[in-house]
Order: sequence, then structure tokens, then C-alpha cells
Amino acid sequence: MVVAYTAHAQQRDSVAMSIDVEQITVTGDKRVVTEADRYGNISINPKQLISMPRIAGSVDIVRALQFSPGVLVSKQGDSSIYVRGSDAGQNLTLLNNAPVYSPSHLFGFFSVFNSAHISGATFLKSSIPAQYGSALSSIMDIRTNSYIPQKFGIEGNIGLIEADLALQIPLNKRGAIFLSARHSYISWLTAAMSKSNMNIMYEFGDFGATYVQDLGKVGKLVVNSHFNNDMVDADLSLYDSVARLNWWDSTSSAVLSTSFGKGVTMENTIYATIFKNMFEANLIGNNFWTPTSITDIGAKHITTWSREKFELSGGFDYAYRRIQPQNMLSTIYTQNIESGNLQITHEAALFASILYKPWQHLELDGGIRLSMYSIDRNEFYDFEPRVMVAVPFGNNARIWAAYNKTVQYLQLIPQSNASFATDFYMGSTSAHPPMVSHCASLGYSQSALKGSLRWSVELFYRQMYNVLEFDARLNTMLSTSYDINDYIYSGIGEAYGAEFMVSYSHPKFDVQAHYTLSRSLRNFRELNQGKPFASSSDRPHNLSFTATYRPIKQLDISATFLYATGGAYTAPTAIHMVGGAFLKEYGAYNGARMPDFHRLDLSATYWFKSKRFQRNGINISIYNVYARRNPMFLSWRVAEDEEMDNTYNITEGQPVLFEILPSISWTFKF
Amino acid sequence: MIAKIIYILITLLMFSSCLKEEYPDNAFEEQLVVEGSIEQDGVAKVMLSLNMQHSEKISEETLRNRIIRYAIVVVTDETDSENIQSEQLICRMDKKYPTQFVYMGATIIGKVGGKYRLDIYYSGRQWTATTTIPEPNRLYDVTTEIVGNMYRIKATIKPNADNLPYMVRCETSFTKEDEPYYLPPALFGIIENCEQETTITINRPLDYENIREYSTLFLIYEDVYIQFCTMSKFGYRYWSLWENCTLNSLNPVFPVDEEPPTNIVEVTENATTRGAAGIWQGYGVSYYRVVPNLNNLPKN
Repeated sequence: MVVAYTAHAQQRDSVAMSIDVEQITVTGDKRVVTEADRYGNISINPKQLISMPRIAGSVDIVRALQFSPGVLVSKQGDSSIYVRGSDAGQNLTLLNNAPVYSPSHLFGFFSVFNSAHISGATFLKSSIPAQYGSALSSIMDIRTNSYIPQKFGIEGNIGLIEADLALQIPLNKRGAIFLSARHSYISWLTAAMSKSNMNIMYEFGDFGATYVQDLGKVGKLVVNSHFNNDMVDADLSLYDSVARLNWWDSTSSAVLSTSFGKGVTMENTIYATIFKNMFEANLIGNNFWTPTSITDIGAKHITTWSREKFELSGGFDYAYRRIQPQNMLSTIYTQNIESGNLQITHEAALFASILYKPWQHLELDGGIRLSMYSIDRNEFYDFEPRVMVAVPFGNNARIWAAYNKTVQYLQLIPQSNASFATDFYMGSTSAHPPMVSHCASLGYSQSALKGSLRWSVELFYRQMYNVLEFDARLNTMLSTSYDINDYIYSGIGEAYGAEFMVSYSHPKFDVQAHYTLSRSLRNFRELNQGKPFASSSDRPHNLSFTATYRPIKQLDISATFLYATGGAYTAPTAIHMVGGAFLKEYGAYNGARMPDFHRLDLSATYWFKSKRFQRNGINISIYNVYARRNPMFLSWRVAEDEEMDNTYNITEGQPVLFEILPSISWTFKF
Repeated sequence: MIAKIIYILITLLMFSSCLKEEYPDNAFEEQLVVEGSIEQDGVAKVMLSLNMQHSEKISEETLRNRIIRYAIVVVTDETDSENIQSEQLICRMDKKYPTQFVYMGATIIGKVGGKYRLDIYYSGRQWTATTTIPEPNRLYDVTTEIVGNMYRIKATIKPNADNLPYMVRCETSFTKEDEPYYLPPALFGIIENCEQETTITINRPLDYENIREYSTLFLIYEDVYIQFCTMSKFGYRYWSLWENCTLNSLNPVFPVDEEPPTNIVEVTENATTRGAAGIWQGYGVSYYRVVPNLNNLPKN
């Protein structure tokens, strides 16, 4: 059954179930991976990921989001999520209520989560309950397995560049452990990608451990620990340069869920997250490195009281953060350079919400969040109202309107438009106040043919304040007078658009199509001569299509297609010569477009009949079937003309990661 | 139901047509490019050219066509307001300069603390800029270190009274007669400030035509000419961004999307506006000729 999984959403659906049991039952029969709920939010069913096309044999929970309405495709190799005109850092991923700051491995092919270890995920973007804060645009709430299995189980996946394994180990009737691990053996692929003047080594891994204990009347305790690590080495002999990028994320949490009867439940969480990122480079004998890190220690409490017609929730959360923003260390030029100050921040919030259904044709969901933040004796306070009104009517139709005010105190500073995980975090300061978003949406959904055919449309408008752009150059960063605050600009953002979804389910096939028509603009006094410009995440047209066909019971054939307008970037328009070198002149800020992104993936999975295995299948996938060259970024180099001596052309380079990538993998469970 | 879907699709198409690109401000604009300098005990030297389209082929012919040979270039010594002197620079062909043509002065000789205005008249338009010559400083303890058949140059720099930035330019030559007139900036040769005595390495300027064979070191049979410049803070901003553009134009992690600033402004009827790329800069300079100490060669 595809329903929301978070505590709040579970409780919300427990109310909804009593009202609309038939609709829940219908969706439960479907074999879809992602599904928009009745409020425009999205539930992800990790158990259905196995039928999706794979990259090098692996399935992924975050990548499945790309096939959801309102979630924009960026470009090849980008692991970030862009929602309703947001920047990459305006979304928050939670694992059992603990923040995960690097939810994807490099280039976004794999999330850091093993789908066998995950019970489900809810992606909140339309109606964000008041219990969630610290993100301007969306929340990805992921929950690990928390049931007590009856017997030992093992499942895994062995693909071409990585293998993952998950174990479920019952300790007794009231306790269990879940373990998962993934490790890459990608060297053969990166070696194939390497050129004579460039060697790249890349490895990644992630590990998870969850302990579940049924404490009887006290409730259920879920203790989870998760670790993921990426390491890239690049040896660029052309420039006598060596670069290394290494980052890891460690997240631990303990969640105690207690039911007091009569609809009263309580959930208490404590967590700690450590994220560290280090970029090191040696350029022609000179070194620089940029360590950045966040340490989070936090707690959250929520109490919910559910009755037939309403649900009341209230609670608080708190996070202590120790942030090391980009700390540029260098021995280049004349002296050792060190920049970047350690930040200690405190963020707390009180929240309360009500879900109320006074009669059959009206649902109200309202909440308020009072947030507080302090840094360097500067304090910020804000209140964040959230409200949603839904009117079910006619034959399984509903219309809803939502408004969310969200405030974000932890800011991700984008270093470049490329996807190299070199962006860094900073706490808001008086120089760069917290980001604020006002988002209103209006949606309509309807189902027909006994729920087989469903379609929806949702319009949205978002106004954002204090959004950031970073505009420092490497040489500037390496100077002794470099002050990062001089190069971070605060401005205004605006996004608007319409999201469309159509899906049809049949016993033998499922089809879903999502289309988003939107704009995302920015306005900064310091940039583009004060004129508005397209944000880096602006994708006016974004289309995703998924189809799964089951001609026989043992065979799944599926296809996915993605299309998005090319991203905005600042293009060179002219060159001139000074100092014996050619310099580029640049046009309007983000005034040009990269080539449009589109890609078709195909997949076939055959499930063998086996008494020993619960699941035993071979998957064959083809990533980027028609070998579309979707560039990661654009660059221009001066190359000698092949026909004329002493003549040079400026040629556009469009580095691509993979043009076409077939793969085979074995998936098993027993 | 079908009718509703069709209606939605039509509305969608209508809405879609409203989402046009609003800021396609990327058209090529021809622009004057100036690289001018004056140093103490030296005359003014100015190179003029026009920029070219990014898509244009770069050849000797296209470059030749972008060089400006027929402008009127005037340098005015404004150091003493009661004794202002001007001279028109003479354009001459000289292959030792990147543009192969240079406008050169003869009578106005730069002095430390002097203030000099540059005026350029070309194609019915006028551009102007002003600079001063700062106090020169010197390199200390210039040493060479043999590395195989190459050598490395090290030198010590000291703070100056005004905390002004430095720039190291250098070039190599095989014979004593073949002394270069134009010295490009050394790699990592733009130094913002120097708060204490510091040892620096003087690197070979980047050679774009032979980038695959490029080395920061010098060959043991090469003499190296070094110009150690003191310059204004604007000069630092310009040359620092210039270096960033040349080093990182292909760097996706630390990208470049901005050219260096300019101090050349166009003179119009009502106001002075930005109208040219480049720099007019006074330098306080000291010169050095470095010959490797071959006594340090390994004995075997």
C-alpha cells in the first residue's frame, strides 16, 4: 500500500482512512514507485524501485524523485533536488528525524540510502506540516525499517560498479537489527573515462545499522546509525595538478514512539549528525585546501492526539550546530592564508498543528511554527504559519489550496553550477539574514475508472527573500584580505508555475507522466546590473514519463524518459588580448542556456521461480538509450585549426559523464 | 474526462507561450582594449586593439585586423598643475609586443609620485584614464636552485610603507642582445600585500601555445629578465582577476564568469561611462637579470 510513512503522515492518514477508506484501498493495489498524495506531496515506495530502470545495476530512492511532479531535473551528474524554483540547498533530507547533509553520492546516480533498509519516504513540498522546519522548499522524510521480523532475511543487489547487501536479524520476539552496506568497485569505469592527461579515481560506500526494540507499554525504540563516504582523486598531468575531494556524513538517532491509548501518541528523538568535506588541490607545486564541516546535535518531541474528526499535534525541536564554513587554507603566493570563522548556532522551534474534518466536504490542516535562532549573540525570531484547505467533491475529485511560510537558517552556498560537491554550508548572520519563503499553491485532482485513471494539476507561486548567490573567484579566495561575506549576495527570488500529472494503471501496465511549466527568477542589486535573471535551477519545461509493462508474471519491462530545458549560465560573448593572453568577456548573468536535457532509460527484469528465494531476478538496463550527450557543464578551449596553420578556433566543450551505459545486475532476497 | 484533459492541454500551451526568455542580453559589442603603462625613468607604452567575437577564428590575419594603428594617443603629465605637459605617442611596429604595434612616448619620462593622464581618440570617440607611479621596491636575496637541467628562482620581498601590491613579470632570452621589451606576468606573480619579509618563487609565465610542455622552472641555459613592480590597489584587482581568467577559464569547480575591471572610461557629452576594457597603470619598477649558478650542478 502506498501511503505516507512519517509519524505525522501516518497519523494524518489514520484520520483520512476513517473518512476515505475506499481511496486508500485503491492506491494500495498499485505498483507505482512514486505517488502524489491528495495534498500534492509525494510518497515513495522503495519496495517498488526494483522494477525501475537502473544505472549500472542499482536502484535508488532519491533518483526516483526525478519522476515526480514539481521536482526538476537539473543536468547530468547533478545530485541535487530542485523544487518549485528552489536552489539545491533549500531542501532538507531527514533520516529518522536527523538531518543528512549529503543524501547522494557523487553525480547523483546513487542516493546514500539502501532501499532495503528503508521502509518509506515522504517528500513534502505542497503542504509542509508545522513540525518540519529548516528548509525553504521541501522536506524528504525517510524512515528506516522499524518492524520486528519473524525470521532472518538477506537481500542484495550485485551490479557492475557496486554491490549492496541488507540483513534483517530478529533477536527475539521484541527486538531486531537491520544492517546494510554498499561498496563500489567503480575503478574500471573511471579508468575507462580517464584520458592520457587526466586520471580519475572514485570510490564510495555507505553503511547502515538499525536496532528496533519493542518496549511494551513504553513504546518502540528505533536506534539508527548511518555512514556514507565519497572520495575522488583527480590527477591532471596537463596542469601538473592533483586534486582530491573527500566527504562523509555520519548520522545517528534514537526515536522512541509511545502510544498512550485513546489516540494519544508521542515521538521523542535525539540525534547527532557530522558532515565533513575536504577539497584539496596541488596546482603546480602550490597547495590549497578547503575543509568545511557541520556538527549537529538535536532533539525533537511531538505529541499527537487523534480523534475521528480531528488530529492535534504539538511539540518542539532544538539543534545545536557547529559549522565550519569554507575555510580556504593556502600556501600559494607569499604567505599561509587561512580564512573562515567557526560558527556556533542554536536553532529551536515550538510548533502546533491541527488537522480537522468538520464534515465530508471540507478538510482543514493548519499549523504554526515559532522558530528561534542565535549566532554570535545575534538572535532571530520568526513565525511560520502553514495552512491547507481541501474540498473533496463529486466523483473522487478534490480541490485544495495551501500556503506555507518557511524560514531557513542554515544556508548552502553554491560555489559553482557544476556538480562537484564543493558547495558549503554557513549559518545565517546579521550580514546575511535567514532565508524566508512564502509559497501558495492551488491544486485539483480527480480519479476515474475506479481509480485506475488519475490526473491532477497544481499551480504555485513562491516569493523568497534573502536567497544567496556566491561570486568569489579562486584568486580572490586565496588572497589575505579575503572575507567571504564580501562575496555572498542576498537577493530576492520568485518562482511560479504549474505541475501536471496523469497516471493510468492496468493489471498489466502502469503509466505516469508529469509535466512542470515554471520559471524561477532572481533579483540582486550587485548582479546583472540589478536586473532580474534566471536562477541556476530555472527549467521552464520539465517532463518525466514512466511506464511499466508486465507481459507475464515473471517479467517487468519498464521505460523512463526525462526532458528539461537547459540550465541558465553566464556565457562568454567576446575575447580580447591583454598581458599576452586571451581573456573572455561575459554576457548577462545567467543569460544563456545549456542544451536541453533529455534521456531515455530502458529496463527488463526477469524473476526466476525459486523456492529458496523470496526474490531472485536478473535485471538488464540501458541508461541513456539513444546516447544523448547531456553536458555536465560547458567550457571553451582554444584549439588549433585542423585545416589552416597558425589559426585557432575557440571550441565549446561539453563534458558528459556517460553517453550510453548498459548494465546487468542480480537482485536476490531470501 | 477527455474533453477536460484537452482543455487543460490547450491552456497549458497558451501559458507556455508566455514563458519566453526575458534577458537574452548576449549580443557581441565591439569594444576598445587598452594595455598601457608608465614606469619611473621610462616612457609611456600603450597597446590598442579591439575585442573579437567569441566564435571568431583566431589567426594572424584576424588578430592583425583587430589591432588599432591609427588612433591618437596622448599622455599628459599632471604632476604639477602649473606645468602640465602633453605628448602624442608615436605608433610603431615592434614584434616584441603581443599586439606587434605599440604607441610609445619620447619626452615625458615617468617620475615616482607623478600623475599621468591617458587620452585616446579613435573613430570619433574619446577615452581617458589617470594613474600615478608608486615608489619602487626591490627583490632581496635572489637565488637559483638547480633541478635536473632546469632551475628555480627564489627571492625575498619586504613590506612597503603604503602596503601596496606587487607584481613579478619575467621573460627569458638566449643572448645578451635579445633583451625583451615586454614582460608578461609570472605565474602566481600577483602579490596582494606583504605583511612581513617573505620568500617567493618566481615561476615562468604560462605558455599557452606549449601548455603540454609547460614547466614553472627555467632551463639552465636560459637567462631570466625580471621586472619587480609596485602598483596601485586597482592594478592588483585588475591583474589578479586577469590571472584568475587565464588560470581558471576551464575550471568547473572554481569557474570564471567575469572579466577584470577597467579604469578606462569613455568621455561623452554629459558623463564619463565605461567604454573600454583594459588598464592604464603606473608602476614603480626594479629590474633583474638572473643567470643560474651552475656551480650548484650535481657533480655526476
